[in-house]
Amino acid sequence: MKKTALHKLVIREILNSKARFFSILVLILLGVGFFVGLQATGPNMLTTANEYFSNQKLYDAHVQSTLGFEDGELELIKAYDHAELVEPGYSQDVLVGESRHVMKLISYHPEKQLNQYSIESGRLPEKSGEIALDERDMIRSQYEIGDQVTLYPDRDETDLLDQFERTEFEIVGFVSSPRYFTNESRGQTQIAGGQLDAFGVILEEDFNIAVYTDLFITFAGLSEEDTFADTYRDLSQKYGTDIEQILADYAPERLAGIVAEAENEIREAEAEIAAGRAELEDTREELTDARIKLDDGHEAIAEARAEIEQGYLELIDGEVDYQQGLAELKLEMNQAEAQLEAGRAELEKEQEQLNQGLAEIEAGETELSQATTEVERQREELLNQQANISRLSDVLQVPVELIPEEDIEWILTETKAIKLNGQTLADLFGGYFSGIIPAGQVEQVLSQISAEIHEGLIQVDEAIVEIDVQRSVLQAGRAELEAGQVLLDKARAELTEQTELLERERLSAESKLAEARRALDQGWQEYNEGLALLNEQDAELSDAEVEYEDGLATFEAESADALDEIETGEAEIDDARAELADLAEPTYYTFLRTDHGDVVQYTDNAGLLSELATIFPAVFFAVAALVTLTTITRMIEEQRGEIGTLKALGYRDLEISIKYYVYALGASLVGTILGLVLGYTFLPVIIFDAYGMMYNLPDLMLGNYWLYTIIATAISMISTVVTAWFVLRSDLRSQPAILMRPKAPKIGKRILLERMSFVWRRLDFIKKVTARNLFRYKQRMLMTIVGVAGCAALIIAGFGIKGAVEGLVDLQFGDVMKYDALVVLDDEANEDAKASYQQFIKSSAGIEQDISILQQQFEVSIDGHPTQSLTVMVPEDAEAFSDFVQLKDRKSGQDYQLTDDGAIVTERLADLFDLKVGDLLTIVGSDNQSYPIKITAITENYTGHYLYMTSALYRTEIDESLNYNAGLLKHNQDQTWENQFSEQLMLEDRVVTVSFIASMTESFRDSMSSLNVVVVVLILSAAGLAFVVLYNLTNINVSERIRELSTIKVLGFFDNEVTMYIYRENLVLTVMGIIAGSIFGRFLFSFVLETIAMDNMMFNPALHWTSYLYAGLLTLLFSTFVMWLMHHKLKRIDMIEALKSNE
Amino acid sequence: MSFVRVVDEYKRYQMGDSTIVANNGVSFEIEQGEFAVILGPSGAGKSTVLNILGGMDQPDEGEVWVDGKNIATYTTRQLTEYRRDEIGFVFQFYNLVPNLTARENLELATQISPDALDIDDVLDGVGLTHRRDNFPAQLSGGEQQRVAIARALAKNPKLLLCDEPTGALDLETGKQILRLLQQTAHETKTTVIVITHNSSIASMADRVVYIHDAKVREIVENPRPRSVDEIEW
Repeated sequence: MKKTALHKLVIREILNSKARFFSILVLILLGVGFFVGLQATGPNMLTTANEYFSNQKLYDAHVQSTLGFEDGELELIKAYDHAELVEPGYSQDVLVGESRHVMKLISYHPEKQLNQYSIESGRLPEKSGEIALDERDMIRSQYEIGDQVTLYPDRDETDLLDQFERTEFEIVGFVSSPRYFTNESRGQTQIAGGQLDAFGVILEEDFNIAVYTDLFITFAGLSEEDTFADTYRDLSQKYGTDIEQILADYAPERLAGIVAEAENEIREAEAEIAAGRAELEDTREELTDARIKLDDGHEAIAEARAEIEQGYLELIDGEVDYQQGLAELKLEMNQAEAQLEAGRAELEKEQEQLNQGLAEIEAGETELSQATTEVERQREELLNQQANISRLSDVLQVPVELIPEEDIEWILTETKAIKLNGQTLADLFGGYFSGIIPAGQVEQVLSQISAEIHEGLIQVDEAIVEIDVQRSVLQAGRAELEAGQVLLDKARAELTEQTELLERERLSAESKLAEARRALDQGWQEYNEGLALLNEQDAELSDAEVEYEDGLATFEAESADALDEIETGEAEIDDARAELADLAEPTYYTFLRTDHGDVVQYTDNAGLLSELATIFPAVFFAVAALVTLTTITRMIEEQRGEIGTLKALGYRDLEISIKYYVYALGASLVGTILGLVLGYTFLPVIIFDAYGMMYNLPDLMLGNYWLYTIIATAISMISTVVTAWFVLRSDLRSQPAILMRPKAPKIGKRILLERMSFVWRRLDFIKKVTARNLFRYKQRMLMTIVGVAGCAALIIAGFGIKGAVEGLVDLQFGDVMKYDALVVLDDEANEDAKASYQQFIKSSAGIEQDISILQQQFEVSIDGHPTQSLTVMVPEDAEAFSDFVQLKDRKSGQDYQLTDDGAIVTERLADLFDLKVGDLLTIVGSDNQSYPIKITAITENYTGHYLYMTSALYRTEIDESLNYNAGLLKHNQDQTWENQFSEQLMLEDRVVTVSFIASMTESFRDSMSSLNVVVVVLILSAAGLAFVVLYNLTNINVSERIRELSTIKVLGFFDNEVTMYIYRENLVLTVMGIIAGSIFGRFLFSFVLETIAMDNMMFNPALHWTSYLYAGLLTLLFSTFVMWLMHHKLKRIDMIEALKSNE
Repeated sequence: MSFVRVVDEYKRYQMGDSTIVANNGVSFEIEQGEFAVILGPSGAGKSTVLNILGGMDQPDEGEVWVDGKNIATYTTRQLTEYRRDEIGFVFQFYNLVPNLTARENLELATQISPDALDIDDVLDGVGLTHRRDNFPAQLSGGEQQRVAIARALAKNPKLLLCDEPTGALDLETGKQILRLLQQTAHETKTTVIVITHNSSIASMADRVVYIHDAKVREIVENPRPRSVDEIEW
């Protein structure tokens, strides 16, 4: 290769000066990245939103009307040439759920295409009774899918069923809508506190509104246009005006239609009423007829009843006769039977006497036969004893020893029964047998006994004769008795005959009586049947009577109602007539997409970013480019000798300069490409993510913009390659000899300071050296100061904006709004509710002070500015008001008081509209009425526009009837107390909502924090730039003065002394840079603040001293860190190498 | 013991793959107050010796005794102190700080030196009192070198090391410089070591150390050194 050496030279140059190469690269990267990134963020945001609108088919125009819409309007707009889609819908603002969130319920129909929702969780409603809610945090955190929510009317007398088919809904999902893509607000409403909390989506069929409330329109060809571009704005405005014109033209027709229809309805109603009256009359007649019929029936039944009564009496007579006959018979029979019975009793008595006599005789006879038997038996026994005695006498004849044993036994047994004086015969014999008693004694006893027996026998025979005499007496008695019996039998037969005769008589009488009974029973049956029939008929009649009474009652009740109804109907008709007479033509309001508050705010935010993107990156890039330029310049100047040598060797200019071009191009190209890539991707995403909290938009759509790319590339090329060319051009013109000769060392010069010897003398040597060195390299000094100043200014402005943004919250919610809570009250509450509320506030221990106010929304506009919304506040007590809201001039600190002369307006609006004290401000109410109000003072305020005035002024200028609809409270309690208090407060009938400054502060702080992220990005980038700038400039300084540094090193300076030798200069330059930067930063801050100011928000233009402090400290810190890096580099310097050559 | 004693000193440089031996076992001694010349052709290794003696570099092996201390074992910090307190260095290209006047260049050195001499005396000694408030760029080469020597001397060093002090000067100016150095050695008992490739200077030295090819070839003591005016080159 021909020029290998040269190639090597390029590569070696880069390798030998990695730090420089990379610092150029990083400078370019930072500059380009920051520039294009910040530039692209605003447009990216707009593209993203535009794409989102287009995907969700956000309307181009939204039309509302005072009378809603009917098919007439729909057809007209559909017929409009530029209309693409026209979709009607319903919406109604209500209170929802226990917390009474103010929600706009919007109708949803799956087939409609416009304003499509994005489902965050769950789904959209599919059937009646389902609702999808706004996915906004305040809603999302309170409800779950599946919860039931109830709709409540704003006012008790409102019947929600006039607007909805139902008031209970089940939550089925959370959605976001392109109509509400900020998380901050949901717009205004006529109800409750005037601010919507959220929207809810229910099916179209759940609405019960006669006319459509909203019309959404897209225009042909506009879906391709960028919402934020002029074309879109112009076209949509033009079409919007057309629509307005069309509708305005239609208004009379619509009115006529309504009138005609209403008159028709009135006529119909009148006919209906007439029909109702006729019907009433008919019914009344029918009822009269029925009455007559009923009375006839009653009469007939009375007659029948009399007849049957007669029959009954006859039957009773028959019954009496019958009973009499029956009794007589019984009496006769009983008498006869009694006689018979007496006869029978006599007869029986005689028979009994007779039987008794007979029994006596028979007893005597039995007794006689018994006596005979007894006598006979005694005779026998006596005879037996006689025989035994003789046998015993025989025994006495036989010696005792010969008597067999068994005989002795037998004798003893037999004789045991025969008793003697105190002993038995057996004892006697026992004595005999045993020899005790002699036989003679026994013999004597035995003969005594025998004599006794004989005596007995004679007595017996005499008894037998007596018995026979007795027997014959008995025989004679029996005969007598048998004759009496015959007589008795004859009497008995006679009696029986008489009994039979009586029986026959009785049977005949009884049969006669039975006949009579039968006849009577027949009569009773007939009677009963007749009576039953009568009763039945009577009951029927009673039923009829009841029916009649019912009918009558119903008629009376209903006829009253009907009459009422008829009267009401008539009154309504009258009202309707009156209303119809008053009815005005409908007013139509057309809102374009670009009028939408959220869109305006988003555009503002994107614009704000773009504003930030102009000055910030410009300064940033300028610093980066400047330092790069310096670096390149120094690099080439350092290499004069080499250029001269190469030139002397005969290399052509281009060949010599190619090394520098490659070097510069390499660093800047890589830096630019990396910067473009990082800038277009990371920075917008980081910033947009911060805004993500405020908007529910899809991910940012990144885009690159040729203009910015070209500008960035051009600047980076100019600061590197073009600079290189410029520096080289003058060098290459010189002769090699001049080049090779060391460029005359910068001549040491006396500096201005030395002339001021009184100062100079006081400086020690090292300080003098430093001072002189500083001025020796003026270019470098200037570069360093400018670079550091640029970075410091960026940091200061960054911190300043951060402070302004953060301070805003404290100022607004701390100093300006001194109250702690705002209670929105129902201005139509009754006196009881008002008294109860006052009582509650008085009795709440934590409340320090309270005031009633009127809070009302107005609009103000001026040419060249978007319409601003303005809150008018009218305190009940003008003097106490300044305890709640600060009324003070921001600059002079002068306090104001409300007077009846005019109103006090807030500062931002005054700035925006160029209002002066004494000017008239025209405010426009929701009724489109204009009221000019005189301004008497301008007060400090940061967010929103307010107009404060006394009640007297309000009454004279705006509305005579003034109803306080809010209260401001001051308390000295904490958050927990607030929550409890709020719950109790909401129980008061008069209270609509309550909002606490503490929570507003939080939410505001949150929304401001997104801007903070942007600022943090700014600060970090500026800090990064400051670091690279310092490193680069220090690096140049060191490498330029390497020889000098080596010299002092050889002289024996310690490492830290060597470092300090340089650092002292850097420190001075840095401090000077910081001072210059502070001045520049102050301007930058003001400028940026001016550009980012929003219409309804003012940032505090005072730059806090901490911003300077932070910027200064950060810069010094970096400077020190850079020096620490340099210290290590200096330690490694090869003194010998540096001192050897002669440059 | 000699004031300067170098014993078996080696210094090698690693240049890529190859090792360059700058000093290959160098040994010599120089007595206090001597005006010594180290003589040799370019690249012989004499600058290396001087750098090591001056505390700007360290040997790989060997001992380097200066005033009874072996500086070969010094740490970086000790070497800095050594340079600060005991060494004066004069370069071929003067290396004056261009932003400082002649006097200030001296001041730069004396600021850090514990027993520095009076700047004006020293300047007077080198005959530059009238140019003391001039910046280096306003001075001629010889004047600049005289300022450099004065800067070295102002620190009142024990050892004055001069690397080709006349290399960039014309004959006459060179002679003036050499005279100054010789006087310094003889009058202030400061040991002065000058390295040069100009052998004619050698004749005015008390001692000449010949270095060639990284080694000491010869050491010659000159009992009667010639004055500057006697030498020609």
